[in-house]
Amino acid sequence: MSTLLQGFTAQLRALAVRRVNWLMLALCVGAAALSVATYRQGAMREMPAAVYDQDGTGLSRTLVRSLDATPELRVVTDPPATLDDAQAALVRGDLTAVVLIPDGFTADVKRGRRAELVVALDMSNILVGKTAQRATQRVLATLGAGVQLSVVEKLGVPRSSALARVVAITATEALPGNPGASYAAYASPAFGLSFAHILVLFLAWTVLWPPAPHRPRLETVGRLAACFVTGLIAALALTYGVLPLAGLSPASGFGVVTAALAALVAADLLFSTAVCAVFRGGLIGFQATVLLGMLSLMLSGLTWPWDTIPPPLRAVSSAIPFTPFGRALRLFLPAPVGLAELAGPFAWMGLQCLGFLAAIALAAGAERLLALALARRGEVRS
Amino acid sequence: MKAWLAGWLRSLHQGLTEEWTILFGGHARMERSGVLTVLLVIPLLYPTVVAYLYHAEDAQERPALLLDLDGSALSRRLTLDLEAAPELRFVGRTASLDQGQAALRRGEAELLVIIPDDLSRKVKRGERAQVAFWSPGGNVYTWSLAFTAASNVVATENAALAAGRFMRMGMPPAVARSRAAPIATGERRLFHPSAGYGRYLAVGVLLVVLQQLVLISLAFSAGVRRERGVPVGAPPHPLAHVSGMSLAHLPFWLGGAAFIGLVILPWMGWAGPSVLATSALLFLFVAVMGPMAVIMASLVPDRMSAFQILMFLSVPLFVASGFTWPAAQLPRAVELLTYAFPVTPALRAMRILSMKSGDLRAVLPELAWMVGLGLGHAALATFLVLRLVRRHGRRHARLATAVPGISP
Repeated sequence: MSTLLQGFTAQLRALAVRRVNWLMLALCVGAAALSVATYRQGAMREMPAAVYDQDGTGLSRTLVRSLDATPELRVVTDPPATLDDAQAALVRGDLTAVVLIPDGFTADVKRGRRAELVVALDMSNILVGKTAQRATQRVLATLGAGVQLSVVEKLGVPRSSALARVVAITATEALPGNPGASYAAYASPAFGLSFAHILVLFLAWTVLWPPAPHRPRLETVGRLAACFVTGLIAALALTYGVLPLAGLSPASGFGVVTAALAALVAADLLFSTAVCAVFRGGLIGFQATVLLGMLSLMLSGLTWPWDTIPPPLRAVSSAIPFTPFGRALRLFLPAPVGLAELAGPFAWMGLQCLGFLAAIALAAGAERLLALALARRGEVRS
Repeated sequence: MKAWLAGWLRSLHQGLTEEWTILFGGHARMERSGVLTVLLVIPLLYPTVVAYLYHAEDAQERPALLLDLDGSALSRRLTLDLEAAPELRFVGRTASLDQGQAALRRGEAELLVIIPDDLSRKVKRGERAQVAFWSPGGNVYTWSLAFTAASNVVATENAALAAGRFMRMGMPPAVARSRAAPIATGERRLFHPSAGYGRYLAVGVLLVVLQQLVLISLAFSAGVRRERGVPVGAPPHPLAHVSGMSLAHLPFWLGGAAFIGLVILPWMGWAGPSVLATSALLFLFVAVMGPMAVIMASLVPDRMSAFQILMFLSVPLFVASGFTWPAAQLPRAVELLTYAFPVTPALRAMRILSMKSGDLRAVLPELAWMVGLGLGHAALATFLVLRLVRRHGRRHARLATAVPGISP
């Protein structure tokens, strides 16, 4: 027991005395804060759009005002002089959308002919392009409904039921996990907590490398326990200290959140230890851990959907603790859930831990057999 | 001057040969420095994995569940239209809302489409009916794909219903259809008409991979030197010595840029209008990152620290660069902070070259910004290396005074 405790305190001391560890911790928090703060606004607002109104009627002016009134778009007051200049502005990224209302637009509407207008969207950034696309589609649909409404009323349909005649079915959306369809809720937790995951992998390797073959096993466990405590505190600090920068805080209780983070930290420590054991304590094991650690966010299914990830990469990702943690994160952050609801991700992490322990045991067994074989060869030679 | 130049070249050569030994020396497993692994794995494995990961370009056929409580001809038509949208795929039907929600929680689908029992009745009565789309996950990307497709289907159905109504009021079919959809939008999706996620994201990720290659390899090598007691920036010409170190890495850096610019990007169809322009940007980026790599190399005490410090830089610099989330939408402080890193203008230039224009003149401001940062970082790197050597010299002098027999 005293060896365990000695290992624990020795590791805490070792972590505290090295300046680079403090720098790593600061960078972890700083990187998480920067990534989270990037999405603070949640949704895109006031993206510049140029409208060329060649019609100049009341209807076309209503359209311009409606576009300007959307939270997503801002109609620039001094649009580029020509369409070529507008094209150049789209290339430079100075404009997000260009809307051209042709001459005769209103006349077509009034005569019952389909009126056409042109909307050019900068799709090079799909977040920007799709947001602008949705905003313009919404405005044009509303305007179209308004035109239909006046036609229907002229045909004698009472005003009270006219709207239902024009837009018979409405599509209502419910996104309880992210009510505002905010990018902050989508991206920030994933980015923020991926840094906790990477930090824990590095913390584990402060114990595992350079190799100390004569260190008692219990001392190593004690040292890893110190990393567990440090990693858990850092993960909690990121969850409760950094995520609020984007207006996010876990809806689930502190106990549930701590349990999920503790599972991640424990699984990460075992993961590093298993990789170290498989690569026989060599540097390549550290490099492999870093490689997998950096890929873990992309492969986790948090940003790029899980079913779209190619199966071989999915298999690799299944063995990384951040993947099941990502599932848990999507559950415990937006809604108040209990431990029972997190049973799936916990079971997955539990299986991973069993796998890591088996790998460690197998690698230790193989190492012992190798040592025996080498010793026997030495005896034969002598 | 001649003697100075000869000395400078000797230092450069010394740095180069030392580095060569670090890269290729050591036969036993524990003797190898690991720098070669960094120089090969980062530029070869990472881009390959990234390209493989995003080769599907877009997430189509989002799994959806259907709860049709109406069971009318209208609801069946709506269901068929929803199923025909490439963005949606019905994986099953559910008997109740609770069952559907439970299936969503189990991850069997991303979306639950609820058609109420009075849909057809309400439409016939001239009342407004609602179709609900419910998704518990917070993934904005998949949600925007699925809900946009669903909204378009509902809008088309509305137009069909309205046209039918106008025809019943006596309008000719062509006029009725025009009245039902009075405004047509000629939508031009510029630069990236498919709006694929892979091309949008992966090009930037690959550029960041290149940044990490340059930064980590030199810092990692400096860590090896410090662990082994080999100097980084040895006198009398410390800058020449560090340049020699970098020179040994340069073929790998340029090879990485060539692999990404001339192989991966064209192969995946992500290179944009001009492969040469995109590759030229990558090569310039490598050159501009050199001084920053020297700065990092002058700071790290050992191999592990190189990773400990540098692995935290890539993601925040990428997300805050304006490449994915537009610069104008960033908090001002975040935007200002990213101005100091060459990856910011490089990513913005990459967006233009890979999507919009193959002409390098279109990204002249970004190129000037990169070169300016490169020069600034070169000045800082010079200062840091010289300071390091001076400090090293002072420490040796102190040691020599304290312990006789040690010469500075």
